[in-house]
Amino acid sequence: MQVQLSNPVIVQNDGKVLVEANHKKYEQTREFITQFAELEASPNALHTYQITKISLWNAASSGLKTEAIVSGLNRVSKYPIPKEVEEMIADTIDRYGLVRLVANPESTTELNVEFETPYIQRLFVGEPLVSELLIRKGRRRDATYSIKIANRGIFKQQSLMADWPVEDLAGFSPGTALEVSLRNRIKNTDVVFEPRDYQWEAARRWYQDGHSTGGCGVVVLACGGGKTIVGITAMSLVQRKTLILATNQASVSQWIDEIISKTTLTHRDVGAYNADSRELKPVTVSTYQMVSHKKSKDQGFENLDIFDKADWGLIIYDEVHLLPAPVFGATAHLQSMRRLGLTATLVREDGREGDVFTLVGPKRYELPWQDLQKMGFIASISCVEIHIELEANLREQYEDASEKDKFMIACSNPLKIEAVRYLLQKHHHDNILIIGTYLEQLEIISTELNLPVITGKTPNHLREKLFADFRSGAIRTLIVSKVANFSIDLPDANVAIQLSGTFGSRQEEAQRLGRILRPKNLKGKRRRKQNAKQRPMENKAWFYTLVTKDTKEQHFALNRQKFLAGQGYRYILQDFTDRPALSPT
Amino acid sequence: MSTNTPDANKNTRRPHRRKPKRRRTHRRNQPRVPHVRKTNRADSLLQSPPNYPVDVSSKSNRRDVADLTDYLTQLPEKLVTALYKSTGGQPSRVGKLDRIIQLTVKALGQDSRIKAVVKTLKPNQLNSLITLVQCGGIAHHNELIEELIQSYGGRQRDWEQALLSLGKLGLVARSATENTHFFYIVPEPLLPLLQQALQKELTLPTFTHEGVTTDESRTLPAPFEFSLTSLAGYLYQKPARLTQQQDFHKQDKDELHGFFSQLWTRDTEVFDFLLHFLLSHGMLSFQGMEVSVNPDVFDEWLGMSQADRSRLVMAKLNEDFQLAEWLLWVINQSNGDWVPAHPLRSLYRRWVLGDRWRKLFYSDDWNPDESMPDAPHFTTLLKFGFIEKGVWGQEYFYRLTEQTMSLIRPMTADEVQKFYLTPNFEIVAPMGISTQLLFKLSELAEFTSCDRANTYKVTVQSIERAKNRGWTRDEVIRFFERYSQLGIPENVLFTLKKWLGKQPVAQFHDVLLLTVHRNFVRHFESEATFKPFIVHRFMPGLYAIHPEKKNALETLMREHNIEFGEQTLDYPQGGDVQQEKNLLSQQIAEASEIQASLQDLASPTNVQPHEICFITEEKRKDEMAPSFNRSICKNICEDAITNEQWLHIQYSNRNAPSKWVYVYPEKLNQSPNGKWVLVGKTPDAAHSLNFAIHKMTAVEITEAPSS
Repeated sequence: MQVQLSNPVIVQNDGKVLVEANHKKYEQTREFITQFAELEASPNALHTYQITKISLWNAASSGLKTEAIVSGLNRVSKYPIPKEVEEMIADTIDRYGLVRLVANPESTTELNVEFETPYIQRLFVGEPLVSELLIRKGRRRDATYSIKIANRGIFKQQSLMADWPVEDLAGFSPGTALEVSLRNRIKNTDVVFEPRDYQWEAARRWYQDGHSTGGCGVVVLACGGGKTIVGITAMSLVQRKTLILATNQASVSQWIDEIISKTTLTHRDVGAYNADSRELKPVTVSTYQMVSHKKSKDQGFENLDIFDKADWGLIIYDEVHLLPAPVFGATAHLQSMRRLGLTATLVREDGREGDVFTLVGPKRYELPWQDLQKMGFIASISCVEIHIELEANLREQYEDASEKDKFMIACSNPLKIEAVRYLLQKHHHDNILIIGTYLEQLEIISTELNLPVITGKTPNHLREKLFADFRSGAIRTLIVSKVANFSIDLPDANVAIQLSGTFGSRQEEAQRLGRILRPKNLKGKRRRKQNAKQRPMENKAWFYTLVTKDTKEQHFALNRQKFLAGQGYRYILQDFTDRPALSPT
Repeated sequence: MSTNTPDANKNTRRPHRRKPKRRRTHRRNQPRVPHVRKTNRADSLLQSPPNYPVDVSSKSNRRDVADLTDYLTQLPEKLVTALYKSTGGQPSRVGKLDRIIQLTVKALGQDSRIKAVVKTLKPNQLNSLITLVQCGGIAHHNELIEELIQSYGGRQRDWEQALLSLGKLGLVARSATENTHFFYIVPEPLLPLLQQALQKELTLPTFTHEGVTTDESRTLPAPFEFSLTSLAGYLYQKPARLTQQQDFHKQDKDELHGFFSQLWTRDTEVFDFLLHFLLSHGMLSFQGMEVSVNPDVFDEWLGMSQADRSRLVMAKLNEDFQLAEWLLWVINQSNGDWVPAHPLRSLYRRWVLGDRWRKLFYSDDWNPDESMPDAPHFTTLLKFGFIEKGVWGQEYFYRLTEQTMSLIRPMTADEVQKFYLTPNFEIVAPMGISTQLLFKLSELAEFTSCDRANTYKVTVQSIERAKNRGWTRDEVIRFFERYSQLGIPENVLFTLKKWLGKQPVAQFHDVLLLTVHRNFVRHFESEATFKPFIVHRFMPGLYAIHPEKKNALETLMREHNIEFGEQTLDYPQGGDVQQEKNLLSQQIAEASEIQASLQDLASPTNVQPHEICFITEEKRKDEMAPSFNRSICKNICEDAITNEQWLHIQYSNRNAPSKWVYVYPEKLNQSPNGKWVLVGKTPDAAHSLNFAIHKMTAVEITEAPSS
């Protein structure tokens, strides 16, 4: 193949795919590449995708063939594709579907295992990881194989570990019927409600008209993209009893509110399953923590039976990249139920992407945040890292401290309060979240600036009230600890001030950023009365990170900076000493 | 499936381009034959093999006619008569020899005459003639027969008969005999005509087929300079440790091979070639037990013209593989198609044999003491990654790799102009980016992977290293702003400025200081032509000069009769790099010389007409008039060295008329391609100079020249 420098793609030997974002063929190229590769970084000029086994199996599950990928890549590549990558694509894609799980018409306790060829059968049966789970029938030559229905999940997991991704065509148990319809207007308001096109598309691709090829899988949407609506739309397609697992109690409440306000279901049909209420309603929302709770180390998970207590027709895993290990275990036994995973990223810190693929299902839909931003569905964000000096006496203390304490001293730099004060003044028209890790620091700022604070210790009802006040505009600034990292929907928050973070955690950074990604001032959205005299909100947001100069905090901040800048967010660094010039716009 | 498709432009012999030839003193075997040496084709930086220009004009001018007449006059009468007869003349009806020569010249001026003769040739005659033409028009009698039998089969007697019959046609002559040895010779004016007439037969076949399989090469088809610069960039950042045996430390070597797994595999010798290339051109420096890249010298290499760089690579390649440049050139004529191995090997073997026979002819003893060379194989070129081998059925084929193509294809404007600097401090430099940028990136950022796009990471350490190398804050920022797509991301710019610190208050400048004697300051400063050379005037008589403009200024000063010191005064610890740079310049000169010597091989046999006999005649060597040859020239030089005497040499240069020079000889050296070179000093040169023996057109021992 000739070198075609005018093409937009470079495929590297390690499976990285670099795409020129300013190329005229970018849009079509991106659409093609996202089918079989995961977006890793998307800075302005050059986007990086990674081809992995899972991403290829995701592609294979949607019917993409090796030839289509390889010839498509050749068409858009500047240089010949590395042989290793070509072989990896062929080996990986071709393996998908060579082993299939299908229903056994003669047995309700077993599923049949089908093989593409007798040779594949011989190879597969010889795999130590799966051989124990297989039940052989007939003599060696004419043998047929099946598995116990209870082993469906484990079988798929083990097969994937042995590099044999199983295509699960065994279908799902129907579950108890539940009539769910989407409302035309949000309950008790005049606001028109209709899922956006991409939300419908995501739900439809997941459901696949009820075929056995659909009904399980993951939808990837950026924070603020409306994953909850996708879940609700999926419920309206399935029309069965639904169990929803979310990350925290605040998120549970949000799910319940959203379902009630946007569907025909009422409080009678929808409820939370938590320490206070153990009632299972047709739509039950709980937390991962609740499901994987143990009274003591030696005892079992007391609430794991929630999955079996009702005849669920659909399980929704919110923030599926956070699905804890015990829930994975339970999910392995729930393969006969329809499953929908919702997430902003498929990358798991624990590397269990394979389990998500086998136990929840393949990726069905993904829409990058840049597209959502272009469509105006999420805010345009500017990240500003402000460097703050450390006072001389603290500098001495810092130099003498242990490595762990150094980070804490830097994060708790008292001069950060000055910066917060300055930013509050600068953004006095905006809705501001102040986010931090060190509770003592949060308390000090709360006292000094007379602002409400939410931490892990804050009782649920108080949390709810403060969140509700923030949403309604009664309070404009809220201090929150790590509890607000996930799934808190505060749509009008448009400024976040990050006082400190958990070392260089990229996931935390993305989640915190997600709090202010919700769209501002959208059409059809009611302007609050108390804001009527104020300027209309732009669909823009600012994410400030306060970092103490020349400390370990700055070192970790660099990692976070690289991550966010790599994601394509505008990232500006400034010194607090230059504050008159601080201008995020 | 396509079949072998001969192409009119791909023949393996060249017709002569009739171009006025520089007139030179006739001291050596200098035939007054209208011919020119090879010329490079526009699309290639490679030197073409013997007699290869393509655009042939058969029209001869008056001067060519005169030269040809002169040549034929010196040939034996029988040979001229035979040639006249075979081209359609009737000697019996023309009385005088002068008239026969006149008519023969006229006949040779018409393309159709020789073509008609060739058409009537029998297969054995044709094959003998083709072989002789491919060998360059001169062949040792026994070895030619051996070559013919080896190539085409048959008996010795048949081939002798065929050559005899060609002699009777006047197409082939012979030399005198020495101890039963003689040479078959094609009279030089006939070579281009025969080449034109035999164009179809001399053309190498080409082949294309989808089923041709290559060795499962998993490496990236990278341009030579991309590989070299990437390796240099790596060694610049990670000097390799050496063992006691001066080999790379195993761990470093493994790491290096792993890093460059996309460019070469361990079973090839691409790495060895690149390393030796860097080493032999002074681009590597040894510090203790480590080997690193000398960035200044490498910069010098990158600053050279593409032609000079290609010349150096080819010179190095020719050292390892005889006539490599010609071979690559002839494969390149297939325009990317496959060239079958068998005819290519035959052609190559005949070039080698032709070279051997020509040397033998000019030696004192015509008895070939070495056996015939073995069938050639191109393993070296294959292992160095310059050609690749294809297999189809039982047949083997060759073609050029991207590495070679990149060397011989003139750079085009569509090369990648810029790299990507991303907000997460990564740099992505796609293959095809200018090598200057690539090496500069190695100076500024950590080299993280070598692939279709090299990746780098800007870190505080890499910036620190760049500062030590002399990069200033403004230079770094300007470099990234200029060559990064979409400039420098805001966060990177902020961080870079922080890492680079403030602009220093003190700064070193790399300039050349020129001092002028106070008596001449006025004269120097009043001359307007000197002004462009002065970067800064510190005070009258003390100036900063741009180092690269030194030579031009020297020439100008010479013109204005301003005497200046020959040597640049060097201050402590400043000379090493300059020495290496000088070495590189010297090596370019040597590479040019090697290339020129290849051109000499490509030029006709230089056999004087009076040394040629009609094929049925037989003369002894000592009956022939003695002639000046390289052997005599070398003997005179040796005598002069032994007796510590001066030599007066007439020396020819390719682009200048030959001139007489006095040389005090020091020693005789042999160049990598086996040419003898006299090393000596001229009265006005401070350093020793090289004089290729084959370029001497006259030499005599003389008294020391007066001052």
